Amino acid sequence: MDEEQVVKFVETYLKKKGFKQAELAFHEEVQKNSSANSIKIHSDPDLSNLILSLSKSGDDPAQYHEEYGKLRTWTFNSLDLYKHELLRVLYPVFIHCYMDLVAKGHIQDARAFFNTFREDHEMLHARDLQKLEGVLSPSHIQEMEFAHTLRQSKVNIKMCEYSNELLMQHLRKTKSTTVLGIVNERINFQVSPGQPGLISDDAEVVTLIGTSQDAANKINKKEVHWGLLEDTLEDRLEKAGGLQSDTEKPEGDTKDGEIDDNKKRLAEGGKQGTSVKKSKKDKPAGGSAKARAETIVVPAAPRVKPELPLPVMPAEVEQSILEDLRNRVQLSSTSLPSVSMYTFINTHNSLNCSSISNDGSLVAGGFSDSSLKVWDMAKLGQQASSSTPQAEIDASVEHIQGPNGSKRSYTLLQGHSGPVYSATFSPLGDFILSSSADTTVRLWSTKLNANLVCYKGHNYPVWDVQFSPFGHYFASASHDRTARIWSMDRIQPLRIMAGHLSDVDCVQWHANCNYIATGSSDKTVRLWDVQSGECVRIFIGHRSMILSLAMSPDGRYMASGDEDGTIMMWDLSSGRCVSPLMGHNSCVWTLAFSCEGSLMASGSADSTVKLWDVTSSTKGTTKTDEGKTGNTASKLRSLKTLPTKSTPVYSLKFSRRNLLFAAGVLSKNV
Amino acid sequence: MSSAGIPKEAIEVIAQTVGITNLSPEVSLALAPDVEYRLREIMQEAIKCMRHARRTTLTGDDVDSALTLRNVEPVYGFTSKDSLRFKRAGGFKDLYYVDDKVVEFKDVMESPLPKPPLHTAVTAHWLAIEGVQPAIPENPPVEVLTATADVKRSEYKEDGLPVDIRLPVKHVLSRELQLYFEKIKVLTMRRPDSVIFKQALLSLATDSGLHALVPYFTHFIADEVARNLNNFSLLFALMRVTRSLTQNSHIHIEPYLHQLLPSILTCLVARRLGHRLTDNHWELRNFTANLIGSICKTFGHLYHNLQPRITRTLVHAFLDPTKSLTQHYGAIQGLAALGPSVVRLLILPNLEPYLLLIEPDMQLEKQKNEVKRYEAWRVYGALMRAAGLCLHDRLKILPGLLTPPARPILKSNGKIVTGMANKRKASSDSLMQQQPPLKKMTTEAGAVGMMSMNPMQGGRFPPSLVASGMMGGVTSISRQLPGLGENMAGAVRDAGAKTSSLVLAQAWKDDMSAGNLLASLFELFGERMFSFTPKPELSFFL
Repeated sequence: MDEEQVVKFVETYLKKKGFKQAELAFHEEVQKNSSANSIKIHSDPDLSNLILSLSKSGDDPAQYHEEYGKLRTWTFNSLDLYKHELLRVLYPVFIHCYMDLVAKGHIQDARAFFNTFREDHEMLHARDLQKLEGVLSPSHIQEMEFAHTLRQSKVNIKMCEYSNELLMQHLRKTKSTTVLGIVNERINFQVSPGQPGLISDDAEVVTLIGTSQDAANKINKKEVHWGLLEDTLEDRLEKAGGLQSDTEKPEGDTKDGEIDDNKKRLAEGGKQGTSVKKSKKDKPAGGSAKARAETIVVPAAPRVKPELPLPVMPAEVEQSILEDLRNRVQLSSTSLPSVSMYTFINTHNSLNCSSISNDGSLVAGGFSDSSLKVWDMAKLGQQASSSTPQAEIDASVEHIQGPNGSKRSYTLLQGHSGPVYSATFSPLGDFILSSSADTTVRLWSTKLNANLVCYKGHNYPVWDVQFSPFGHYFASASHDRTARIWSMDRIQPLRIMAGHLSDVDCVQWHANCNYIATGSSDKTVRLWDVQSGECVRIFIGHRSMILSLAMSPDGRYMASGDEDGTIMMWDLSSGRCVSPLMGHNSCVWTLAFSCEGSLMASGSADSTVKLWDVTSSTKGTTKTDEGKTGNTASKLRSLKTLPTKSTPVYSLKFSRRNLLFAAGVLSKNV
Repeated sequence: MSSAGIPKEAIEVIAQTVGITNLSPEVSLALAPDVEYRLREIMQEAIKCMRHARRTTLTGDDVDSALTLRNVEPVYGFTSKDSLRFKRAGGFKDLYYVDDKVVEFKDVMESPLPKPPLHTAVTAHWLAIEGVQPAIPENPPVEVLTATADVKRSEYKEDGLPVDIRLPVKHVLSRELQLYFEKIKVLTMRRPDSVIFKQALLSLATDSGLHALVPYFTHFIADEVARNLNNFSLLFALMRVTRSLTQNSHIHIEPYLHQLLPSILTCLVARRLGHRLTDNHWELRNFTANLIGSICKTFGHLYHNLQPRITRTLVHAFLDPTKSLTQHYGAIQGLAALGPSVVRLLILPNLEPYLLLIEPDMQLEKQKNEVKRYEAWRVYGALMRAAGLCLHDRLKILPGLLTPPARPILKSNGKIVTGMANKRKASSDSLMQQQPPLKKMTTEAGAVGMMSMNPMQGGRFPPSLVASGMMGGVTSISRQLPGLGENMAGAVRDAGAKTSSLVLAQAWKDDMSAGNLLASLFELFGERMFSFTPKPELSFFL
């Protein structure tokens, strides 16, 4: 006992003086020297438990309440400069106090404690609190993954030296041994000398995730080749552009002819989506000068080779894409896109998802009655608006019509045995993939109106499925916490991406097809290498479930939207958040970048489409060179809010000519 | 939600409902937290399902999907496509329940099948055109737009987004039609006297392919009439446009008539049209009356209630003594334009009392106001014309019914004579004249009352009760002011007039003798009536 007392005194002395290194060294010494059975006693957390048991007889539940209350009052009254750093400590202490109480079986006290102090954290951690509220017995802590990981891992909190000192002094002065124990056991302080950090860093730190920040940082150090593929169609256009610039139409004509063009494009049978990047073509029109200036600012990424064998594009399709690219409307903060809205009516609350083909001519809806319905918008336009100029429709256009075409205007595709949660068109518009609660993904042909393949592999509902930008490959995301890569010709998945701690809710391909991004209910977004199946980036910052993802056409940025209406723009190479976009006040269902990457559109459950300026932010970051603290000025700005008539927007799609298509359901109670 | 979860009593109650009566307190105490945990787990999964169904309200379906996810049998019978309607339980602050009514099986069986739900459909519209939202019905109203536009930060000057909302017309009409419409509008508003306006009217009356513009024209006319009641020339121009539109055989104006009619009637019976004395509003009223007449003739067979509605409005204006004389004039002209049978039915029975009413205004010594007197004479002229035309019509159609004049019409003294005439008539006309006509009127009044909703049906029914009641009132007034007529001086005349009023009162009857009619009209209007009588018949009388 004497020896332990001495050890304790030495330790407190070292702590008081702030001799961190010495303290650690001392611990190691002690551990080495002591015998096998005394290791347990002397290892760090147990030591604090020892102190605890010495000072107090048994575990008094009221102790937690009292000490946490003290810490809270002290923190709130602390110096403004250090307050926000100290406030960060409160949440983990609160969580662990509660779980300690639960673990020791004081259910009633735990509940009282939780309800007394939950308000403080309601704003930032509402969802975590809701989850934890249900933890009511020691077995739940083991069973519930979230609670379990919280118990297993330490929370990293960055702090300046002085804040740390203040905190320790306070805890010692008030003899808050319980809290001190928790702080020692659960929190890993990263003490940095100098001034306290900025409040804006908060977002990264306060999220409690299973993986430690270190691990995430380690992963994020891996190299990501976000450059575009070699020899894209746009490159070819660039070469051809010099020759054709004389014959190029003035911009105004292009806009007028947009509708015609869309109709005509249908006649060509849809085309392949190409990876698109910031357009560099030399246009004689005045607006292009600015665009060129921007392309100079953004350093061109090194071109990469595709890691997957990519399908070959038919020549005539290639031609039509080139034609589209030539006629593309240049969008910028001053020239906003035209938006064509497709509204679903009479859905009786059963539409789960919608998807728009690349040229906007086909619209698919997945319904909770297991059906998938496809509308041919060109045909619809024919019936409805007689005054809009009609493009002559070739005889070669496939007629998509139900058996009793006169009555209903859509093609009914039946095959799933559960609600259809997602649908995606192939880049050429000839295939549709749909994913459903029946754990399968099905491939449909829009030409034959029939189901071709049923892909079984997931064990739980498949939330999302996305075709790759070049077709043939697709990715799926499921409740079974995995994302999988498939190719159309195999019924087994090619890769399984496992690592998320909760449902994988959405998936998106990178423009160069070598990566996929997944968003999850564990509030992180991850980037995976398709070839190796490894996780190469973890993006931490969202405070609720991720619902939508979009990749910028230049391959450099990624946007993600969550349940609260926050959109975050990420830099893929650094893994950092460029800027959070606030504006929506409900779920962001869909995101889309314009083809040259200057604008982003977001559609939300609050019945609006918002247009954001991307170029201003990217310029800002390149100038400050990822100095992310100085980036507040370069926040992405909202250019325009387009409210719909009580129609939550389910999907958005920029056509190759930069016409924006939006789809949503007219709903009464929004 | 945040209140202490599930009490052990709840567990005990649930246990009892499934037949476990002797549940030990320890068991329920242990179960309670676990039940709560499972509930929360299910709700968490249900919320995930809700999000993936792109919804923000939780439904029974979501809970069912969550249960299936956990390999639990779903709870059947709670699915509902619409969000559930919760009711607050009385006496508790935050306790809600779903109202589940008992439904009789018989009622369900007997009730008619509900309509099949409509097919899901997709409609397309422009949410924005180059960043600007067009003001079309599919987009939210403009107020919302401007309110949210404030979100746009002021620091970005270069935005310069145009705020103007484009006309919805532009997306429906071809450019040519838009131009045409604009041109006509300008002509009507600015240069209604020019030659080019006449040509425009001709074009409106004859061109095919204007159909798409009809709603815009109707709207335009209705708007401008309402706004420019004192701009005489514009009103006239508008009425001309209206006439041209109704004449155009290529367009189907029928569905828009109900929008046009109020404007037309306004131009007919408004108290004031134009703001200057020199404005010849009489002419406008005459023009409009003819327009109404032609509309009724053209479209009356398509809209069986068109003429009754117009007539009712006009009769109301005519019989309301509080209305100004200009309004009366318009009403009379309008009624006259609707045809002689209408005059016979609605004007003639009220003719005499009405004349008595306006007489004071017509006399120089009684009415000092020049304008008023002029108006009264105008009305008098209109009445005479109406009555005369009617008489003319009678004489033309029923020459066979001509009876010799019942009394020497040039001698206007005839209480006895008229009495004799009545007797003779009674003997010659079989059924109709058996009863004194007035009595017959009253006995029929009841039956007529039912018809009064649609007084003109078949053009044979007597005027509505309102009209006859009004007539009675006017008659009684005329009794109190006997013998003031210019043409009927003396008390003897009074008696004669009374009988002539009887004749007029039954003028609606088809087989009413034209001779008698002429006689009584002659009594009221004097020799001027003869101008309306065709020559041969006139000689017959004389």
